[in-house]
Amino acid sequence: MVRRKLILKCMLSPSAIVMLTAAVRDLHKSCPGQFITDVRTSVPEFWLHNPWIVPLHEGDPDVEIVECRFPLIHRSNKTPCHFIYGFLEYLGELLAVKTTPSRFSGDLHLSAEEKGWMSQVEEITGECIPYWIIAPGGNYDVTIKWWSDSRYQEVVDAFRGRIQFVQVGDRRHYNPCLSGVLDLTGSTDLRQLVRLTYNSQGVLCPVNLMMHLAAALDTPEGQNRRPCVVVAGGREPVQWVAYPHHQFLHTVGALPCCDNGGCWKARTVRLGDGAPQDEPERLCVNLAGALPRCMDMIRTADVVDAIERYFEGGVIHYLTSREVEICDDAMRSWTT
Amino acid sequence: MLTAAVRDLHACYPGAFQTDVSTSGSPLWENNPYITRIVESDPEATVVDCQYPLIHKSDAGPYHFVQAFSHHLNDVLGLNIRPAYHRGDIHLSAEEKSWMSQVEELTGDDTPFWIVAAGGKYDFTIKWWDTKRYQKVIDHFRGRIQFVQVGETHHHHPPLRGVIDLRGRTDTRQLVRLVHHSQGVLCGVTFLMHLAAAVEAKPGQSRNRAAVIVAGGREPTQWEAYPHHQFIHTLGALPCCSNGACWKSRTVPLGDGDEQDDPRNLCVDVVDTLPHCMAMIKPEDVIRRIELYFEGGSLSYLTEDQYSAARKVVEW
Repeated sequence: MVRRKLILKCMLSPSAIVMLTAAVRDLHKSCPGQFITDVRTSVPEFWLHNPWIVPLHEGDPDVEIVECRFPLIHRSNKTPCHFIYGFLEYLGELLAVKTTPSRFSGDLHLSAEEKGWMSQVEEITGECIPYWIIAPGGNYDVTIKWWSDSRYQEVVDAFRGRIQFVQVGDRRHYNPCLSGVLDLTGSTDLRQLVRLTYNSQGVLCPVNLMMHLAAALDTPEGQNRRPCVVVAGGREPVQWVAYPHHQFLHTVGALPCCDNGGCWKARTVRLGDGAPQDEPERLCVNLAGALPRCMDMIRTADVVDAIERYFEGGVIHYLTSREVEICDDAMRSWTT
Repeated sequence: MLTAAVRDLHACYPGAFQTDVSTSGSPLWENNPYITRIVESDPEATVVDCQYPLIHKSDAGPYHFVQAFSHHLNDVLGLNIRPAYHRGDIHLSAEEKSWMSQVEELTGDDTPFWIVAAGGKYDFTIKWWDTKRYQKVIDHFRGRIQFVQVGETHHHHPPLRGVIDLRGRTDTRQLVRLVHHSQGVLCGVTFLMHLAAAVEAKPGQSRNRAAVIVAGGREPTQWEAYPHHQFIHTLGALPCCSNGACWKSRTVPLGDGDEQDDPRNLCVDVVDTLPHCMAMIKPEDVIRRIELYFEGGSLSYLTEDQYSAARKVVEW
C-alpha cells in the first residue's frame, strides 16, 4: 500500500497543538501504515521526539497539505465529545478514514535524556523537591478565565509548609505577583515548561495549556497520574475540556448564563484595546465584582479541598520539614 | 443509554431505518417517536443484540456511556452514528406533562423538590454512601429544599428523616414523571442520574436539571458524568483508582453466595464501613455542590408557604 504523505498545518494556540498531537497519534493507531505525517504548527517544541513525525517537504508532489481545524467545537455544548476528538474527527472526515481516539491525553514525548535531567526546581533548590505548578494568570484574549489573585494567594498560603508552588506564566500575559511561590514566570520556554510539568507533583490552573500538559505528560517512574485542579467556572462545556483524573471545578448548569452549556465568552470586562474580544457579545453578562460570577462562586476553600483530596487519598505526600526548609532557603536566595 | 443510540441512529440516517425494541425497562420507551412496531418473524427485520463493548475502553478512552450502544451499532451495521446530545432520550406525552406530580398529589401544592436515592442494589454496594451523611445533607437544607426519597423496596434504601417518603411507591414510569417535575437529584452513580439528564425539565425550570452525584472512584468520570451535574469523584486521588476507575462491586462480602463476593470484586481500601473513595466525600462537599445551583441563580429555595405545604406530608 502506498502511504499518503501529509503535512498537517495549524497555527492555533499551544493548547490546540497538544490536542493535535493526540490526533496524529490516533490517526496512526486507527490507520496503521496508511500515512506518513509531518507538521507545521505554532509550537514545534511539542513535537520533539514524536515517533509519528517524519520530515516531509512541502514541495514534494506526493505531499498533501492539510490545514487542521476542529469544527466539532461548534457542537461542544451538545455532544459528549472531548476536545481530544476535535482534530481527529476532522481528519477522519477529510481523509475518509475511520478514526477513534485511543487515549484520553495529548501525546507529548520526552527523550530519555530529558527525563534524566534535573528539573528547573532542583537546579534552584539543589534537591529533588516535590512541587506543584501554579498558573494563576492568562492571556488578555480570554480574561474571563482568570480567577481572583487574592484567592490564588490564599490557596498558596493554605498549603505553606506543605506544598511548594512554582509559578509559571508567559511574560506577555497577565501574571499576578504571588508570594510564597518559586517564581518562574517568564523563565520557561515551552520545552522547559513541558519538562517542568513532567517533574511536577501536581498542577493548579484555569482551563489553559497547563491543564492539557498535566494530562498529556507521563510522570516520572514510580509516580501515579499527575493531580490537577482546574478552576473552570462556566465558560467551557465540562465534557469538552475536563480530564478524568483532574478535579475540575465548574459551575455549568448552576447559572442562567451557562445553564445550557458553556458560555464561551471571552472577556470579563472591556479592555479598550480594540480587540474583537471587547465586542459586547463576547463579554461576560453576569459579573460579581471584578470576576465573572461563575468564577466568583469558586471559593478558596473549594480549591483547597480539591487539592487536599489527592493527599488524603494517598497518591501524593506533603513536603517533609527538611524539604520545607530547603524550599524556604531557595525562595529567599532566588527572589534576592 | 440505548434510547440515546436509537435517537442518534435516526438523526444520522433520517428515513433509513425503522426501529423497534425488546428491552428491560419497557416503560422508558413510551411515547418514543423512533419506535415502530415490528414483529421478530418479519423476514425483513434484522435482530440486533445490543451491547456496549466500549465499556472495556472506558478507563482509557474519551467516551461517555451515551455513545456506547451507537458504537456497537456502528460496528454491527457498518454505520457512522455520531452522538447528537449528551443525554438519553425519554419522552413524556403532553398528557403526562399536564399531570400533577406525586408530590403535589400529597402536598396539594406545586412544591419544588429534589429527589434523593440514598442506597442501591445489593450487587454493587460499593456505590453506597453513608446514610448518616445523606441525613446530614437533608438536615442542612431543612426548610429550604424538600427532598423526596425514592428507591425500590427490595433494594437497600434506609429511611431518611425530613423527606417525603416515596420508597417503593414509584414504578419506572412514575419515577420518570417524578424526575420531570423535580428541581434536582441527589444520588450515586445510578439509574436516577441518567434520568436526571434524560428527562426533560418542566416549563419554567432550568433547561438542564440540577444533579449532584456522589461517585467516588468506581467509574471513570468521562464515562458517567453529565456536563450539567456536579459529579463528586476521587479518581486519581487514591492508589486503587489512580489509573482509572476500580470497577469493583462490593465494599465487603455479603455472604449471599453471589459472585460479587469474590475477592476480585471487593473494595481493596475500606474505611470503617465505606470504600475509602466514598468516605472521602463529606456531607459538606455534597452540600456545597447543591448550594452552587442556588447561589448561581438557577434554582430558588422554598418559600415558607411551600415548606409548610411539604411539611404536612413529611412523616418524621
